[in-house]
Amino acid sequence: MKKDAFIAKLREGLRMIREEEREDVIAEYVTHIDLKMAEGKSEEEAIADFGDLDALIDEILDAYKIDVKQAKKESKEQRFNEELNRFFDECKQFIMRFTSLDIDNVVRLVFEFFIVLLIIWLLKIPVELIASLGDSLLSDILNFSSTGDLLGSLWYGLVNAFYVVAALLAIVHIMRSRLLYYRAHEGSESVIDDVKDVFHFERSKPSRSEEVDKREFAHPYSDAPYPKKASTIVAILVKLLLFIVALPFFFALIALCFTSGVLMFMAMEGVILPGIWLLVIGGIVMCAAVIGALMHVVKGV
Amino acid sequence: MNIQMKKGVLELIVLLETEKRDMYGYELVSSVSKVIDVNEGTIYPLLKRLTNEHYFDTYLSESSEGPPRKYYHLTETGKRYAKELLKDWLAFSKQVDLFIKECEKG
Repeated sequence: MKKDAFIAKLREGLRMIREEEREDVIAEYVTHIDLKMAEGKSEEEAIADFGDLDALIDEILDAYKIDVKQAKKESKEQRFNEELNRFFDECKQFIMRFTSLDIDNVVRLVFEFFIVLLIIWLLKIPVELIASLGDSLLSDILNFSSTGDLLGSLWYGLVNAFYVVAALLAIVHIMRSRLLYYRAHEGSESVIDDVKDVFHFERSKPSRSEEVDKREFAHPYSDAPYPKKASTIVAILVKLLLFIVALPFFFALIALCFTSGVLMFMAMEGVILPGIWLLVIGGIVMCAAVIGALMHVVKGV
Repeated sequence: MNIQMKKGVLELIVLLETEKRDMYGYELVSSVSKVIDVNEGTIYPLLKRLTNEHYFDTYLSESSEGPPRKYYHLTETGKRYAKELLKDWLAFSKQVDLFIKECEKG
């Protein structure tokens, strides 16, 4: 063993001793080795004369009245704790390297990510309805022929593909703006606002005074520096989706209007059906409300 | 020689060696090694312990060659302790000798 290695091991073995004392002891050994070498012995020989290094360390610790076994156990535990802390620190740094966020924000981000996933999963329900509706309609209309099945499957696949693309774009866009918010405290404070933003739902129109506030505090949202391309595509797709959802209601409305015409004709003929009348009026009101709401959203995009 | 026996007597030898004059570590190790065959490394912890118990004072002194050396000076308490230890040892070895002689007689 060379002198440097010997000293390093000694220092490591004696780390529970106060630094001042430890360096004092080490200095004695260094002097000893130097003088041995001055007498003509080699570095290795001089160190070999000390015998087993672990035994020597135990002896030194014993001179300091340190219970060697206890100390070793404690230092082992201490080292384990240090390792654990180092591991966590490294994890933290690893995450921070990518996001420049602290750990709390990362946890919040992950949580928000799951919220976004949940919302998008919920939006799967109407998509699924439209897809299966088109599928069965096409199959039925074309009389269960193979072309009908093929077209139905094609429709089903297309709608689902549209959903997947829209969902992915939405997730990317939302998470991007969340990240931006946490990094620079820019953008909207809640994830829901971002979701709304993706679908371009009209955020409650600010009153005049609020508009003044907005100008004063220069809300950075409108001129956030990320590209808006993704969100425009999503907006168009969503518009289309909402329009398709509105379509059956629109046809239902037309049908109900016809029905009311027929009912009126029957009333003139002398057949009055108050129950059917109520149903038709209720249906018309409901359809009109749904179409109105959907169109409001589409306009808002 | 048994290591435990060595350890017991090593302290006494170190104290008696330094009673005559102040010595530095390496010097002390060399002279003690002449009396009993001892691991050179173990003398330094002993010196450290005796210093911590105020039996030694230490001081640095320049040498003609190499770095300054740390000298060990036996204090008054150290001298008293050495005397006591010597007395104990003499009594002890006398007893042991006596016992061995009796054993040999049968």
